[in-house]
Amino acid sequence: MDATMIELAPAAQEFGFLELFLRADWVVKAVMGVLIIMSVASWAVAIDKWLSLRSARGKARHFEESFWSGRSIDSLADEFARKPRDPFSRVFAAALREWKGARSGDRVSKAAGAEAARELSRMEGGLGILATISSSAPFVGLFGTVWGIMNAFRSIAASQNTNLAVVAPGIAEALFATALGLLAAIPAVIFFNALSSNLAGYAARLEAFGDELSALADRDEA
Amino acid sequence: MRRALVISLALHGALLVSGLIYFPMAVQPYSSGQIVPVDLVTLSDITNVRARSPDPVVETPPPAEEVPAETPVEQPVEDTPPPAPAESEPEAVTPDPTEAAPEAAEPDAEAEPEVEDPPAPRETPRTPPQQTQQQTQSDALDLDSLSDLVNQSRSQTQTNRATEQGDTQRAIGAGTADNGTLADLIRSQANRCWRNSRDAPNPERLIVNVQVRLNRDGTLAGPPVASNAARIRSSGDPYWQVAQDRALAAIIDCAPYRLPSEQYAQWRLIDVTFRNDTF
Repeated sequence: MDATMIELAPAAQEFGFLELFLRADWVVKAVMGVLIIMSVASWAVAIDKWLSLRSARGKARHFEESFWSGRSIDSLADEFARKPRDPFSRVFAAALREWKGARSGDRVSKAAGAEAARELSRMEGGLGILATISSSAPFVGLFGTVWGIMNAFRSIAASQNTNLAVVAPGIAEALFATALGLLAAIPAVIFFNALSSNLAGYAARLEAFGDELSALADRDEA
Repeated sequence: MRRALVISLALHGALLVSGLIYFPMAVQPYSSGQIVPVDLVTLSDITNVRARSPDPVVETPPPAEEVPAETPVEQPVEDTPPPAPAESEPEAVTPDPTEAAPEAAEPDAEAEPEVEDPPAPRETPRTPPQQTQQQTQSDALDLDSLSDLVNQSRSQTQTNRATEQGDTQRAIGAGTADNGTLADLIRSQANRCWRNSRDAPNPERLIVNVQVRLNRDGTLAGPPVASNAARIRSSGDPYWQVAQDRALAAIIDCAPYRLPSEQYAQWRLIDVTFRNDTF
């Protein structure tokens, strides 16, 4: 019993992470490296976007509460438009700049809409990276796997030996590339969908606020 | 962005560390169960059982009154049951000095008491084949039991030795089939009660198909019927009529039959053919 345990232990260790990586072909190694970078980048973008979106929503809630609390436009402008920090404040500041003179409703609406569009496109900045990673990482991993399996079969042909033990390590390390690709792609897909739906909700609120500002400007003028 | 990158790298590092710990543990070598070698066996329509080949070890040479002219080719290879006591002729069983148990090859039932006398040849050759045949011994149990039954009818001593050794694999099968049919099993057991009609002119035409109906314990469930009785009657051949009567009588006289009870569904109602042309 002891003898079998001793015999099996080193055999099991040959399939660790590092062994799989180090034993692989350089193409497969490169693929794995690219996939690791992709995974790190996708997580970084997702965390960054999630944090910024969360703070933006908190500020938006605070802004809306202040805005609809019945305070005068001037005090609001003092508080928010002087040093605008969040998209709502910036939209408000851009609208205030056009809030002078007659028939300002139209201009306010346009200025607010333009500022809102600018803010939204800035907030959506990293999502393209997530979309690219989520759609391309499986293919990159698959490429590594195909390359590795190709090498495994070539080694069969070279060694003239169809024993499974000849191919099994090569196929295992090749499949590791697909595993990495999926590991990078699945969180990227989930983050992309979650972030884009949250951003869409935020964008709807921001545009609605711009419309309300133009309505207020129209009423103010009348 | 920098903070997010740090968090991401930390998460990946944690994943890598957990993978380094978990991954080698996740690989369990397959515990392959015991490998059971399986022989594919063809079931033939006719019994194709070869008689026991002579054992290589000679313990007691038989009384050498005969010249060892024949090699062991004289073993009956065909699907015939052993000849009836009346038929057995001395030269058919010429004992070879190099042959271990010439009595075993003798299909005569009357010879049994004489065979019992020298116990030495039955004992000694037991060990060598047992060692070489250990695998087949454990596997092909059904085959063994069935072929044992076939051999039983041929000679009692042969069967005894075969069952003791459990190595009947060695003896049976010419390479074309490994099994005896149930009909041949019944006929071989009925053989000692059967008077054949080989003395009739053209004995090869005297074929009698007997439909036998059996109980689970091997006794007859009803009188046997010749399924080609109408043809026999219409042929007006008295020899054929006699052959039919003899076949029916043999079936009745030799009951009960010892057959594999797990295959009762196959021999509950079975056709047994008695031919007079083969030897």
